[in-house]
Parts: sequence; C-alpha cells; structure tokens
Amino acid sequence: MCLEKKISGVVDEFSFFETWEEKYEYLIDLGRSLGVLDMSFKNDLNLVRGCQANVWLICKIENDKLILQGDSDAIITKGLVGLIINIFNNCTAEEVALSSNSFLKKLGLDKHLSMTRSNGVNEIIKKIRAHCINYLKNE
Amino acid sequence: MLDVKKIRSNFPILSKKRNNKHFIYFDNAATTQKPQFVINTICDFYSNYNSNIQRGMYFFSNKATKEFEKSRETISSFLNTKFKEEIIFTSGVTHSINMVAFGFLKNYISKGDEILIGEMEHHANIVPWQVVARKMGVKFTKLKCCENGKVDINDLKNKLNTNVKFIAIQHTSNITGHENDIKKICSLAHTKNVKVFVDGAQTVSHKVVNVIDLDCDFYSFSGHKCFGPTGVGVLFGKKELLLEMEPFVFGGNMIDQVSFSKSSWGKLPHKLEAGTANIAGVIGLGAAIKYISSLGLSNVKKREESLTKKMWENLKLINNIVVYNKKIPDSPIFSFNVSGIHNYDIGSLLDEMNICVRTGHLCAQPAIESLGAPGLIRASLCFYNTEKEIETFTSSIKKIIKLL
Repeated sequence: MCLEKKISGVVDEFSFFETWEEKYEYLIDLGRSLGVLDMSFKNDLNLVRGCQANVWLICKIENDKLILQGDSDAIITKGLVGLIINIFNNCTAEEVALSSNSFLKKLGLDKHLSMTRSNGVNEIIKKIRAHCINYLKNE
Repeated sequence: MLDVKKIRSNFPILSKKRNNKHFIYFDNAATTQKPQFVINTICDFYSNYNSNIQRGMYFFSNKATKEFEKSRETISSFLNTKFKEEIIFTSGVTHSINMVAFGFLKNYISKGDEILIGEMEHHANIVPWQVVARKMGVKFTKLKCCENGKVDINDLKNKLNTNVKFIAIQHTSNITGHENDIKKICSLAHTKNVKVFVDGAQTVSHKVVNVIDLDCDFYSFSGHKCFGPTGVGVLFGKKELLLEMEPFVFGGNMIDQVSFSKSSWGKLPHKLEAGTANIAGVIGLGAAIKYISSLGLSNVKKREESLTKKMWENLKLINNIVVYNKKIPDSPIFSFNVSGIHNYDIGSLLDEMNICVRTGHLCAQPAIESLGAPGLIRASLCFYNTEKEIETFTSSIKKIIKLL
C-alpha cells in the first residue's frame, strides 16, 4: 500500500500545477534537493543505459525495503530521478516488483517527459523493478 | 529575393500550433519540412498511376516509369552530372556509403593500403569504411580538422602517401555548418590517383553542387534533408567507376540474364538498383528538387546568409554560451552549450516552448569528442525560417538559463 499512497500524494501535488513551467520548476527544485552521489559511485555498474543525460542509480534492499540513491548530470533528469526515488523508496520489493508505470500518466508527465528514449524514465524504473524481482527470486 | 511569407505557406507543417502557439523548426539538418507540392506529387502517384516500373506494358506502368526516369534527369541536371545513368537511387546517404564501401572500395583496396576519413564525420561516413578497412586489413586514418571544423589541407598533404587509395569526406559539417574545400581535396587526391567520396547530406539544400566542377568520384545526398520524402537518396558516381562497381544488393531489376548456373547484371543504372525501387520516394524527390530549383539556389543562399548572420550575432550575445562554430558558418547550422547547464535540460525546455532543436551527440561522437563537449545543442535553419524566430529562439534560451 506504501506505493499507492505515495503515488496518490505526488499526483495530488502535481494537480496544483497549471503550467508546464510549474511542473518543471518543481522537478528542478527536486533535482537540486537530491544529494550529489560520490564520484566513486558514478561508475558503469550504476549507470542507467538509454538516457541522453548520465543517470546513476544505486538500488539496495534493507529489511525487505527498497533503498535508492541516484544522481544525474542534467537537472531535469535529476529531478525525475528524485521523483522516482521519492515514490519507490522504502516500499517493499514485492510491491515494486508488481507495480506498473501508469503513475507517469496520472502525473501528466507522459505529455511532457515520456519521450523515454531520451529521458530514460522507463529505463530507471525498469532497473529498480529488475533489482526487486532479482531480490525476490534469490530470497 | 525570396518572399518568405509566401514560401512558408508552401509548407503545411509550418502553420501547425500546439497550445495555441506556432512551432519554431530549427532541426533542418536532421530533416527538412516538405512543401505541399512534394506531398501532392507523392499523393498523385498513389492516387492516379500507382504501378511497378520498367516492365509493365500498360498505361500506369509507362507513366510511373516515365516520371521515375524524369526524376533521374532532374537530379542529373541538378548535380550537373555528365550522364544521367551516373545517378543511382538509394535509400539515403547511409545506403549510398555502404554501396560504395562494399561494392567498390572492398574490391579496390588490398592489404597494406590506407584510407583517409575526416575527423568531423557523421557516423554514417565512418562506420561502413571502418568495417571494410578492418575486413581488408587496410589502415584507417583520421584527417585532422582545423579549428573552424574544415579538413586541414596541410594534414591531408602530409598524409597523402602512396598507400592511400581512398578518401571519404563530408561536404558540409552537420555540427558546425562549415564547408570543406572539396575541389581542392579532390584535386590533391587525384594527383596521387586517390578516389574521393563526398557526403553531401548537409549541402544540397543550401547551395549549388556541381559534381563536374568539384571533380569528386562519388557524391551522395538524402532526399529528406532537401525537402523530399524519407527513405530515398542519391548516389552519384563517375560512370567508369560505377561500371567497375559490383552490386551491393542482388535480386530482381538489376539482372541481364538469370539461370541456375550463372547470372549476369544489367546495364547502369539498373545494375545498382536491385528490387522494386521506392518509386513514390524517387518521384517525390524529383518534385523536391524542382521546388528548390524554382526558388533558385542562389536566392536560397542569399536568404540563408542573412539568417546565418543574424543567428551568429544573436547567439554571441547570450551570457555563458559556448558556440562551437569558431567562425560564422557557411550553412546555417549552429552548435552550442551553455556553461553549467546540460544540453538535455535546454532541449527539454525548448520543446515546451514549441522550439525544435537537436541535442546530444548528433550521430558524430568522435567529432563531439574532438570539440571537447559532452554533447551539444544544435539549431539548424533554412530559408523558410525567419528573423523573428531567431529572436524568439534567443530570448527563449535566455529565459531557460534564468529558469535553470
């Protein structure tokens, strides 16, 4: 339930935005507030393929909860990484493994940012989900 | 002088709006928009005489064959080729390069030879030659470029040793819009009996190209980058070289006789055009060439020079901008970054403002690397763009910098 609650929270927050500028300002602020990943973590292993900007993502599972850290060299992408982290962090591996991408549509991000080949949102989510599926398999 | 308002009305897409705002299309180096005349010509083919060409003995087929061959004549005279069969229809420059690489170069070179490739080339003008070079055990050497993005003629002179057999070079850079001195390069190459392939993808929509004057051995362009449809392009080759060239694709249309013991190839140009051609594409491309010829390429050049000057001056006024064109470009192609801001962020926000540009490595990773950029933003204009669009573009970039 953690995931659904968080998604509806973000959807509520997004529903207040009337213009694309407001959505982007929110993402840019989110990107700025997300910490900077240490250079030693910005390696090939953590790099998410398929994004025009570099995206690094570290997925861990502690006490059956997903713990995410991420960074990007583009601020809007970093904001998207932050948004995804906020949504999935602390959710159970099972919940994440069974989740769908439909929240992107609910946020209205599909209209603006779903040219996924360049922004890599799908790739980021795919990596998180694959990590959870692998964890559940090996459990 | 071109009547820009009238010209813009020839391109239906230029009147489209999103959120009640017109688009600014500054991605002409990726593909140009299509005039109604080209769209109508393609539509006319499918609506009124769609049929296969060259073998049907009936009205539709005769008409389609006639229009198809008329396109060849139009393009032959557009590039000023000596013979019309020197025009081979391909699917675009990438196809043309593969055709020359595997049909000509592979048989022309042998172990120990060397081929020279410009440093600023598009991936399409690197990878096929690289594959052939590796297969044949041939040296694959990079030609240095000067600061302005043009091939360094002194470097070429130094590297033109007796092993060099082939040079592949772009006419105009898809990153900086600078034009190589093809005539000079060909003349130097020919003193050493070296053949030259020229990638004209970024040139034919901007200026007159005369292959006899340039004296290049091969020249290619893509239809969609000069107001024609996608999936069609042209390879020019000197007749004696095309005669020597082995087909790269085999099948119907390109044969003379076929038996189970042996097949022989037809005459030029059919030998190099296997299978059913992109008939609508070729006829549409002919219409596109007629369209730009009707505007007059010297008028186009004049108009674009004025747009280039304005864009160049406006870009330089933006704070923290890094422009990769070291000099005012020959064609209106501009590449830049803004210090401290990722090109993807700028591209995303420009999209929200209905401004279409290209961001990233522009299919030229070695060139981008040589510029020391992680990626960049490219704004490429053409004659239907306006001074007002340039002003909106630069003020939008300033707005984005403030936002980021």
